[in-house]
Amino acid sequence: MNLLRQHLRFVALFAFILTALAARAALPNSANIRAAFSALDASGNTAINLDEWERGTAVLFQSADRDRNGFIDAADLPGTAIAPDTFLRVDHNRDGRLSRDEFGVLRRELFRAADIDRDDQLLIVEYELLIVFEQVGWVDRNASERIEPSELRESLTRAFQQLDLDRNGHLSPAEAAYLRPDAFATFDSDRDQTLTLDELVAGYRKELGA
Amino acid sequence: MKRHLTPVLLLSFTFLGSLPSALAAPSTSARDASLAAALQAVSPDPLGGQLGLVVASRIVAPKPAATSVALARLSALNSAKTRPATPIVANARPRP
Repeated sequence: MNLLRQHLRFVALFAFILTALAARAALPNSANIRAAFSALDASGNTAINLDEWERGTAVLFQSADRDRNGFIDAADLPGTAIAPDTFLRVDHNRDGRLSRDEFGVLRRELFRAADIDRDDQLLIVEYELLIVFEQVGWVDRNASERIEPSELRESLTRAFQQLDLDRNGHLSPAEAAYLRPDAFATFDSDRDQTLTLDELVAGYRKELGA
Repeated sequence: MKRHLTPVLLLSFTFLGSLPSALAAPSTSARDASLAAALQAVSPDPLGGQLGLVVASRIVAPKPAATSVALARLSALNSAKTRPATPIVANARPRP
C-alpha cells in the first residue's frame, strides 16, 4: 500500500513538472496567430489598422467584464502574476477597476509599441512579434516606447531559450511552431531545416527592412 | 377565414424574406464572440502580458481638469512610486 502511495506521489510530481515545462514553453502556434490576425483584419487587406484594433479592444473589454458592470475588476483577470501589476499601473484613478478608457489607453499603446515600422498598421510579422513579446517580455532600451529592430535580439534570445526544448541551439520546425512556415523557410539561410538564434534575429530584421 | 389568413400570410412572407440575410451573415454578437475567442487563444491576458506591463509603466496618467495643490502633490507622489525610471523587464510566471 505504501509502495503504491509512493508511486502515485512520484507520478503526480512528474505530471506537475511536465505541466510546468509545457506552460513555460507555451507560445501559440502560427495557425492560431494567423487566425487571430485575420479575425482582427476585418477589411482583409493583410494589415490591422487602428480602427480594427479598437474593435478587438472593445470585444476584449466586453469579454473581460464578466459581471457586465462596465468595468474590468481585478478578479476578472487571468491568474498570472503579471496582470495585477499592469492593472495597478493602468488604473489611473485608483478606484480598483479599469474603465473602458483606461483599458483603451493601454491597448492603443500596445498597438503603438508593436507598430515597428511606424506606418499606423500592424502586418502579420509585427503582430506575431507582439504575441511573442507578450509572453517573453521586451526591454525598451532607448525608451522610444516602440519595439525597435535593434531591440529584437534581447527579447528573441529569451523566446529562443523558451522554445529550444532540447537545448541544442537550433529550433526545429516543431519547436518554432509559432513562426509562419514560409518565414521559417526564408529565415533558414543555410537550408538545414533548423533555425539558429542568429538566423531568427537576422530573418526578422530583414523582413522588417532593418 | 380570409380575414384571418391575410395577416398570417403577410407575417410568413416577412419572416421568410428576412431569412436569407440572417443566414448569409453571422450576427454581430456571433462575430464578436468568435473574434474574442481567436484573440484569447493567442493572448490570454487582455492587458498584454509582459509587453503590457512594460507599456503600462510608461503611460502617463491623464491630468484632471483642476486639482488642489495637495492633490497634485499626492498625484506626483503616486506617479513617482508606480513609474520606475529604469526599463522594466517583466518575468511572469503562472501563479502556483
